Amino acid sequence: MSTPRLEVRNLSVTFSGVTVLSNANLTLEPGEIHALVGQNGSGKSTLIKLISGVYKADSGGEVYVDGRKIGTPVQPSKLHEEGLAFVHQDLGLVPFLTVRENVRVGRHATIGFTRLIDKKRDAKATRETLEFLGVDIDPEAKVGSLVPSEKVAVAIARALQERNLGSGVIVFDESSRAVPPDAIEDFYGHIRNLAKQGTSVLIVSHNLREVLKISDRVTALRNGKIVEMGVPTSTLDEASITRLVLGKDGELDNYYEAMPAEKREGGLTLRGAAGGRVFGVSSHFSRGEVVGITGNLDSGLSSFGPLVAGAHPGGGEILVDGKIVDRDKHGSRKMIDAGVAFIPQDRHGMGLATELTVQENVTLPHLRSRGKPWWTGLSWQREETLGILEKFNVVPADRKAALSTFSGGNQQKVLMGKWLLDDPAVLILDDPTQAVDVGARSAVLKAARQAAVDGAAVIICTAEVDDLASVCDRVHVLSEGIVVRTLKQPMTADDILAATYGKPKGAL
Amino acid sequence: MATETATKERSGLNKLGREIATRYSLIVIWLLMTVALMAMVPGNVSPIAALRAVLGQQTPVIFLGLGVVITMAVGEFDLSFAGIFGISAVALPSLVVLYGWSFPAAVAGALGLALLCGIVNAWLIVKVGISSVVVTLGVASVAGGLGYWLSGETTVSGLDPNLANFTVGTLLGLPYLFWYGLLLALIVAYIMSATPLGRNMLFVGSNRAVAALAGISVGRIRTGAYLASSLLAGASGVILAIGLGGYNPSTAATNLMPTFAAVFLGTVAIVPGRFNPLGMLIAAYFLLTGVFGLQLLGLSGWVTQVFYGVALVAAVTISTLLQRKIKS
Repeated sequence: MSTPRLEVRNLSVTFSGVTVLSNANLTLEPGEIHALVGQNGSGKSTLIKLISGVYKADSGGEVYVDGRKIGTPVQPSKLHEEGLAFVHQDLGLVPFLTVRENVRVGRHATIGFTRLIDKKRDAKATRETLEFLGVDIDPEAKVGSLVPSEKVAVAIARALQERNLGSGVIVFDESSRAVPPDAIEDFYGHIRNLAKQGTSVLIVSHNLREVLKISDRVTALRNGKIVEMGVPTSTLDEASITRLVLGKDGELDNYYEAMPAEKREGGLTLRGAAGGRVFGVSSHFSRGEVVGITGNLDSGLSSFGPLVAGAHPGGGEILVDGKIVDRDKHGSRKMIDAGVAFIPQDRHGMGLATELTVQENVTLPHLRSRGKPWWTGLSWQREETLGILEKFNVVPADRKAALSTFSGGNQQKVLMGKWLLDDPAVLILDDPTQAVDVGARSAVLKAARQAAVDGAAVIICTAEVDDLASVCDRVHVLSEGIVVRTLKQPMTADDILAATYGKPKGAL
Repeated sequence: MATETATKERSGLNKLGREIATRYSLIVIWLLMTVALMAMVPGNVSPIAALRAVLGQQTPVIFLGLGVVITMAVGEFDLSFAGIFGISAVALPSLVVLYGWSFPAAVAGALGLALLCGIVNAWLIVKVGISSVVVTLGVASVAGGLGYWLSGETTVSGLDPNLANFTVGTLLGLPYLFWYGLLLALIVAYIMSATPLGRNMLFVGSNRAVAALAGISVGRIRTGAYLASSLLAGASGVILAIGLGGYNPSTAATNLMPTFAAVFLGTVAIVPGRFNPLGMLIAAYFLLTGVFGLQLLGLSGWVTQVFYGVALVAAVTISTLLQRKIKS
């Protein structure tokens, strides 16, 4: 076997006592396109940041380029001469500067001791690189005036600067997210072209379809560990690569069977509801049942929860217990008043104000109904908060502690409690088990099932098929913003996976 | 078992003790500073007289500080309060003396100008989405300039001296102005800590997305904060002008530093880590005591600016460290 282009051995990193990445090993062959996949928090961006020297690894790790040891620790300033280049998530382009300035930033050619930028030499170097990429762009054009596919080429040209053709490693860190659909084929074309010349490409991506399409091998991370290294993509399909990413964190109990719920009158009805990336869903969600919503990344899955919560004004009608809710203005408040509780995906961004106390957070949605305009009231706040702390077994049970002092799992429990308190008519959970530990995960799912037993219509939006199989009566599969398939119990996680990634034709 | 309960109680007591220590440490430091200053000042200074001198100062800092506490608490930034204070303080005597308006009409005019500034702030920042630093800095300068223009660039005085009693008249040996400030601070403190409105403000300042998903009208809260802040600045301008019988526009800007210093230093007291009115009130008089003491020691002029500058930076440093401790 030839010398690997990039080799990572035993890379670990610990932040304040928590091991975020442990003993990562990774090998990139010259000229291959290698994909790094894993969920949020799996450690893939940490691994990239260790290779690029943003984080300092624990002692013992080693990084080699073409057999030469470059770390650890990796010196960020040396990366370039070692042949490593990084293209960032947002491509890192400055729109009001020229192509030349964007490509040459950080390594401008200069004139003598005046240190003025030598524009001619910079322009020549830029032109050469763009020629190599096979694109015809004027180095003096402003980046803001370029079409998307040209911008992509400029970002890649920057990564290629002063590189001998066919050498080095280019890392694309979620770069395809910034590439609009009409430029994506050009983007893939550039990557393939680079690899053909012998440059190794490491792509970090959430888009598993993309990974299957362009990469040669895949390395998967889960919970800070590499679970599979260098699996050839020819042996994978969309279902198996999804499995690889999600894994199985221990079997979940079947809460659907263990906690039978009775369907009741009322609930949530959608009539051609649209908003965000949901383009028209008609369905009824009865009180007393748990319905899953799933789909791949572009399916509209992430818009579904906010849509029902009133965050997206849009077409169609939403009815709660048979009454139409007008969501043109103050949609969120009207949905809350109609009895819809929405537990958003981004716990820190949208779910909780972590610098405030547990009590302040959990009582917020009920201030209007239980407090008076001139007095919030104290005893009900105390009782409610203590009730939640006990019911969800939140540790420590300190209602006046700032939420930031709690673990992720306990924060998630508090977030659940905040919305379950009012016995909502409809409960929507958006990706509720993301980045929580196994114990908190079953607690969250059990609470969702319990809410249905207590008479709420519960909707869980997630790509975690095990969660869905464990608690749902039914599962709707979304694709391109509409429901394309519906599964009913009995169903397994694999059934849901197959339905999500199977061919659109067939069982409907 | 018994010992366990005892330990628990003791740790509870310890916690309570620590809480009291952090909440009221500023008051303790205030007392210590007062004692130290009195020891250093030559001659015999009666503590009562000194206290009266400090609390009896004709200063708009409390009113302005309340406005800043409100805007800061909802996550906004307002630099225009001193300018708005200035234009209101100048408008009242100018409208009466130079333009012949009746006193009530002039009061309404002065408050109206202040509110107008607040509306401009709110509209550009909340509706249009312009940076609050830029907008309020601009509005401050415009208000200051218009104040000069209104007054013909001089000190306008000549308000009916009988009206001054409204501000300088005393109760328990302290001028009404002090009591107004105290009363307002108590009202704002009540609203912020004990009403749903206050809780909503807290969440808007802490995490707008969370607030919006809980059905709070984030835009309305932010707008309200700018309007309240401008009205408080306007009211303090009117009250000060009544007490002084007139106003010199050039002195308005000197309130910027003391106010910011009081607001930020206030975050270490009463409700540590948060912008709060009573903390600001205590901090304001703490700072005034310091300046007063330094003046008694014969230091004045330059030392005031240095003192407020140090106090501001020290206050922010302490409250940042405090926040870090709360978060960890």
